[in-house]
Amino acid sequence: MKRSKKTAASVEQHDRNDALLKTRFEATIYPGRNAETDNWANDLDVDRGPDAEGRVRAFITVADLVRLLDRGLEVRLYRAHPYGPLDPSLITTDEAFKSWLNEKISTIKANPGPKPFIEPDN
Amino acid sequence: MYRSIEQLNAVIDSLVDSAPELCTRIFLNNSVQNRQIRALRLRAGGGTNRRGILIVGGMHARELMNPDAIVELATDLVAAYKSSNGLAYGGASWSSTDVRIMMETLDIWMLPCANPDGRNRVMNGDKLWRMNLRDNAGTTCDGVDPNRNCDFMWRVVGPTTVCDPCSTTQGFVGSLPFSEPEANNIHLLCDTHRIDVFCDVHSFSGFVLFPWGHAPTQTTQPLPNFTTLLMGFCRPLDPPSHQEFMSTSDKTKYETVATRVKNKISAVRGENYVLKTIFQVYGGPTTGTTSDYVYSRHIANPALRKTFAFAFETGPDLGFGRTLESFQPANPDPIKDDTKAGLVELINQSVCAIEFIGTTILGQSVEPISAARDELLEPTELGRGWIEFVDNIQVELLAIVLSDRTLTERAMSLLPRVQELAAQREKTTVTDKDVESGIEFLEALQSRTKTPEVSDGISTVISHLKDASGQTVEAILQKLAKSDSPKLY
Repeated sequence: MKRSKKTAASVEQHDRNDALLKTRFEATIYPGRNAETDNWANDLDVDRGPDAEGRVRAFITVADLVRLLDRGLEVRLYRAHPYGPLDPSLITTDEAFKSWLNEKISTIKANPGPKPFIEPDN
Repeated sequence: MYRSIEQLNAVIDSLVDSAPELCTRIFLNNSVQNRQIRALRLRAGGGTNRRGILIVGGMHARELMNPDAIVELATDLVAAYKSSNGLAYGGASWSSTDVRIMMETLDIWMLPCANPDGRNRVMNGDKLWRMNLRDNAGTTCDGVDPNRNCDFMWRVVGPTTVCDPCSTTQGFVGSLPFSEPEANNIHLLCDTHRIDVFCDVHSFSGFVLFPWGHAPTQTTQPLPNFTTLLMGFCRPLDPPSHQEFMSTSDKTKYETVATRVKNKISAVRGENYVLKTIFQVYGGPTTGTTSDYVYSRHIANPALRKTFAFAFETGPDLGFGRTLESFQPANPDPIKDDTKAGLVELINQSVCAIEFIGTTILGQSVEPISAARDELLEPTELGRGWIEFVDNIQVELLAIVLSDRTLTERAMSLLPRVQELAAQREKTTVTDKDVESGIEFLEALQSRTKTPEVSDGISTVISHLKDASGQTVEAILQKLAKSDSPKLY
């Protein structure tokens, strides 16, 4: 009994660690104390996204964070995103989709369209 | 809300079923996980060798909005054409004539969801997934970035381009150029269909982008260019100071069209998109992209047609802590309207009235006319004003010409003479008869236009034409390049 409790706790801890390792953090990265060149951001090896102001902005993992800090870079974290799929409430339901499509297609079917300027070739 | 892959496919299938005279579906290479990848062609009426535009979405899986926007745009265009209505998104609108000319003079190709495996992964596994689902041999790591896998400066590494399949960058270049079907489909479409304009739609930040991505763009030194640079070695750009050449004419065209697209997006609800080169997005080399590949084709192989290649980064940057929401907003509808407006304007900008009559109807090249325009009018601001004037009135005048058989025949008889004069623009002089025929044609157009500004503009053209007898096209255009063009809107 004692042994199985310990196992359950360790499994839970393992799952928590696994989840943490897969978590992505929204981050901005700055050259910090060790930037040697103007091209310091060209080989960061992180999942970058565009930034309207041209800042170095990325989704990073814990492993990325440790690596970047070891390089002497400065990292600011803004938010953590647990690993997982898109929120299902953001996916169009089949019912809503069919209703939208039927409306669009009925408009298309209801109108013959103009006689083309140049007749089709076949 | 975002549509599943099955729903996106169902939109394409329903359009083909309900309007087969306008919509053609083709199946491209299946995805890595063997999902079907559909492309859709919209075209009304006939004519061969039409100008073509290719719009691509969903190359990066987590950028969810764009496949939805593209299938909605397809339905909107078909519905607007069939009902002879115009099209409007917020404050941006196009008349029924605009829609008709787009649908009847162009082949509009759409590849709404280029990377269905990735979209499936986002919806069912990892919301931040960006690549395809390639099982990379010898590793436990999946995925190749299809927008780093094209045969252009492939394996030249940079801020978002890496050779390690296990990197968290999500920018792995793949095992060979075009090893990935999702990227190869772009190559396939460009090889098998006439594509004059291309747009790869990404998110986010509100940018309208154009080449180059691997290096800053310059307009003064044609050589050395990318064909002489080292690639394929997983090394950074060499030399790092390289700047890639683009002709002034092409740069002007990119900036002109991108500005018109940006203005139309702004008209929807006031969003202020910014023009940039692809290189400027990350401030470092971005290689193996679809847009650079598509534009570079005519330079790597001069036998190929030039394609002007754009990219959008749709949607605003919502700020730190809201990056995921910038990629996947809970309500993407306003952003999709911006995107659709930008794309319709890009389609509109792809129309060329002279080329439609010359190439599609008469089967002749209009290259001498384009060359005279590019070389004599484009270099000056006043000259560019004349190009813009023609661009702004061409859709209305083309519709007038095409709707009247007599006028169509008159245009068809005039165009070969204009081509001859343009081809020999330094030698052959315009005759009294040329002037007379030209004025007669313009007056016929003027009598049919219902737009006062267009009528006034035609009067200005006629006044210039009256002085043209005895002059070469070179001399006439040189003079125009120093004259004010009519102001329209």
